[in-house]
Amino acid sequence: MVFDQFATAVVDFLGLEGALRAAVHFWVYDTLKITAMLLAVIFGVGYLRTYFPPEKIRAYLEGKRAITGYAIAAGLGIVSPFCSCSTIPIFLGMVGAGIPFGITMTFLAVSPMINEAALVVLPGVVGFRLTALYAVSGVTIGMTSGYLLNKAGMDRYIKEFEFGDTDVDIDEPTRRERAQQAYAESKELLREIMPYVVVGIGLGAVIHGYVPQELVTSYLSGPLGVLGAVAVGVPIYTNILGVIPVVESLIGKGLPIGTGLAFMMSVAALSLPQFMILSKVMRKELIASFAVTLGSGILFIGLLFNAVI
Amino acid sequence: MNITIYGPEGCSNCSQLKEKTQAVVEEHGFEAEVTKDGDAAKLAAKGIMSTPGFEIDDEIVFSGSNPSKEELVEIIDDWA
Repeated sequence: MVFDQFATAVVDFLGLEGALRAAVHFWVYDTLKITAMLLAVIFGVGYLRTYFPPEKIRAYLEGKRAITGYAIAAGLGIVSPFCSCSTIPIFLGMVGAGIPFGITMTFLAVSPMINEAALVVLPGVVGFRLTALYAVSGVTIGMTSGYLLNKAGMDRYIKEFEFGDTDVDIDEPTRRERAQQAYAESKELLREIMPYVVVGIGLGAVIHGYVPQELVTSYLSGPLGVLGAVAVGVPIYTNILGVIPVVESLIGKGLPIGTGLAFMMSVAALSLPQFMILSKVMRKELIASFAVTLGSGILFIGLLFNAVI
Repeated sequence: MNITIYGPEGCSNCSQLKEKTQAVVEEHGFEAEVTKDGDAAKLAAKGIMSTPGFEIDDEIVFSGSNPSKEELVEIIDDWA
C-alpha cells in the first residue's frame, strides 16, 4: 500500500535501523492510515447524523419498554457522538422525558464504548473478526447492564433534577445544510480526537519498537492480565480511537485478544471525568453500581474470549 | 448582558466557544459578562441535549453548534 511505501521511504531516508526503525515506521504508517480512514468516515457519518438529532433519538425511544427499546438504545448509542461529555446531556434529556431507566442506562453505556468511527478504523487495524466481537460484546454488555440496574431498582439513586422544555421545532435541514453541518462537525471532531490518536499511535509505536515480546506474554497474558487491563482502563479517559493503536501493537506482541478487548472497552466506557460529571445527577450508589456492572461485564467478556479463542 | 456557555468538563468544543465568545466581546466592545457552566444538572434544567448551549440573559439562543466569530458577532449584536 502507498502508506506502507511512504513509511518505508521515511525510515530509509532517515537511515534508521532496528527497534527505532520499527517504531518510526509504525508511527508514520499508522498515523497516515488512521487519519485517512477518519477523514472519510467522520464526514460521512456526520452527514448521516443530521438525520438523528438528540430530540429525535429521544422521540424514538419514548414509549418503548421491552427488548426493542434496549436494542434501539444500543443502536442509537453507536451512532451518537462519542465523547461521554456529549452523551450525558442526551442521557439526561431521556431521563427527563420519562424514558424507562434501563433503556437510558443502556444508551449511557454503549454510546462512549462503540461508535461508528471505531467500527471503521478497527477492521483495518485488528481485523474484521475482532471488530465484530468488539461490537457484539459491547452491545450485549450495555443491554445487560441496563437491564440489571433496572431490575435492582437503582433508579431511586437518580438525583432529583429539574428538566427544561426542549420541544423545539426542528426544521428539516436542506441537503446543503446537512453537508455544512457534517463539515463543521468533522472539523471539530478531528480537532478533538487527533491529539489522542497521535499520542496513542506514539505509545503504540514505542511498544512496537521497544517492548520485548516476553514481557507481554509472561506478565499480561493470564486471567490477572484481564483484571489488570480493566483496573487500569476504567479510571483513565481517552478517546477509543487513541487506544486502538496501543492495543494493536500489544496484540502484535502476543497480548491475548480478550485482554485487548477488555482494555479497549474499559478505557472507552468508563472514566473518572465521566463519574465527576454524573455525580451532579446521580448518587454515588448508582455511579458505583454502574461502574461495577459494566466492569464485571467487560471482565467476563475478556476472560471468555481468552478461553475460547 | 450575561452570556453563559453550558458544557461539561472534557468538551473541548465548549471551552473553545467560551474563549471565542470572550474574544468577540472584547474585540467589539460589547457590554457582556461571559461565563461557562459545566453542571450537568443545570444543562438538564435548561433542556440542553446537544453541547455547547449558548445562553444570553436566561434565554438559550442555540445549542449543539460552534458558530464562527462573524456569526457570534451577529448573534450578540442582534441581542444588544
